[in-house]
Amino acid sequence: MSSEALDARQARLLAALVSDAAVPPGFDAARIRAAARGLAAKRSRAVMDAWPVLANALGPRYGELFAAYGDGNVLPATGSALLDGALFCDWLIGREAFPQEATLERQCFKLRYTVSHSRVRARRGFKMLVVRHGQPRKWVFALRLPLLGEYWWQGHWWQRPE
Amino acid sequence: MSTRELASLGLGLGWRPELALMIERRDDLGFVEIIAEGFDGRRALLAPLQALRERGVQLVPHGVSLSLGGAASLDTQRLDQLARLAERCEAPLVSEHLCFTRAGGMESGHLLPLPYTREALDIVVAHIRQAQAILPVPLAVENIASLFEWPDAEMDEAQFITSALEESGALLLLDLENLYANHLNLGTDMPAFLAKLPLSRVAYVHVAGGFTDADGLYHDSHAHDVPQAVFELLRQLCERTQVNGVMIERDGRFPSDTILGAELDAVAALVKECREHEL
Repeated sequence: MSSEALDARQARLLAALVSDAAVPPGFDAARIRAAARGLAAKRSRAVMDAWPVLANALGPRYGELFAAYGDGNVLPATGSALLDGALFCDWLIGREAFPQEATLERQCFKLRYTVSHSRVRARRGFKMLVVRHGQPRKWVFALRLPLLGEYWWQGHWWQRPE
Repeated sequence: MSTRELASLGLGLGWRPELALMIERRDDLGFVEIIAEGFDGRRALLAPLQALRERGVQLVPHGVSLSLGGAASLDTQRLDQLARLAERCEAPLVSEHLCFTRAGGMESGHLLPLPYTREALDIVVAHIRQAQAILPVPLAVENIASLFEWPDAEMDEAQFITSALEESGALLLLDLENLYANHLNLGTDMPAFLAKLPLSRVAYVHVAGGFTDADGLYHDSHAHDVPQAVFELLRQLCERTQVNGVMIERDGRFPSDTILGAELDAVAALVKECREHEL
């Protein structure tokens, strides 16, 4: 069952909560703004939990940068904090603000998951990544094989714990 | 269905990785709730959950993103996932919320209130029925906390919940902290709310703690100790009806095992005291 009229009203309310759209008539605007702040804080915390290395690398700048990213980008349609964080990484890279310390965390995401229509799924097939990381910068190779799992090379072979 | 057909759940806690060890060590838990979206029913249960299951602790999948009150059609993929997880867990029931979480292609990441109107009631009842047709076990729906209400309500929250339960046959997951939050933020009359609800349909009860912000608004963070007022509500509820299960939700600022353990002990003692008083 669906109702187009209620769907439109719910969408207008949600737009006011997650973007700068106007508060629909009849609602308490101050409370909607308070709820919007709560949603933004929850979203920010969820990404912080899903991307701990990134959050730690950004340190005190995390809150401000995530808020700036969140202003122009709504939560991905599936609500995935993992994907939200991956898109935040892309946004940071676009602004040359991505911290090098989080490189491997971002590569892990790419190695382990596939994204299709905002849905994040565990990767089943083969994937290889090559990236320069660390100080001084070194080549890192990562390999994900069906059934056999993950292998990383950083001067010597070692299997990364799941 | 009534809760009489449901086996007793007893004392419970929301299972979180941070609490896994404490939960494993605690031998008086009858059930744990798991956040359904974090698990895949096609895969084997995580080892600590499997160990609990083997010990006889019941697992209750708790969905947070089905958007039962959303006016758009129900996401059947999420529903199928919840059904698979219920089977994987051999769950006695599953639970979700009386709310909407997405609309117009946008996702809130949180639980949003419904307008208390006949139109919204028809939608949520139709979606609950659709879910019940797919789910292998009974569904309980939870009252949520909100900082705001929709204008033009045709009934109050308790009437809305009661009608949704009676028309769909769903059970109630009664969240006492959400009731307390709505009392503080929206002026909900707590005794009247409890008096109106069909308490025979309460499958189990949530208690949790939140905080008051600089503007005086109460947030149900699940990251603070259970307030005395919520314990008092639990006492009032236990005096009115025999509760089938009570659990604490703790999602952040995890305290030591001793502090959380003492909170669980207090819940258990309160329920026991009310039962003995009855006898």
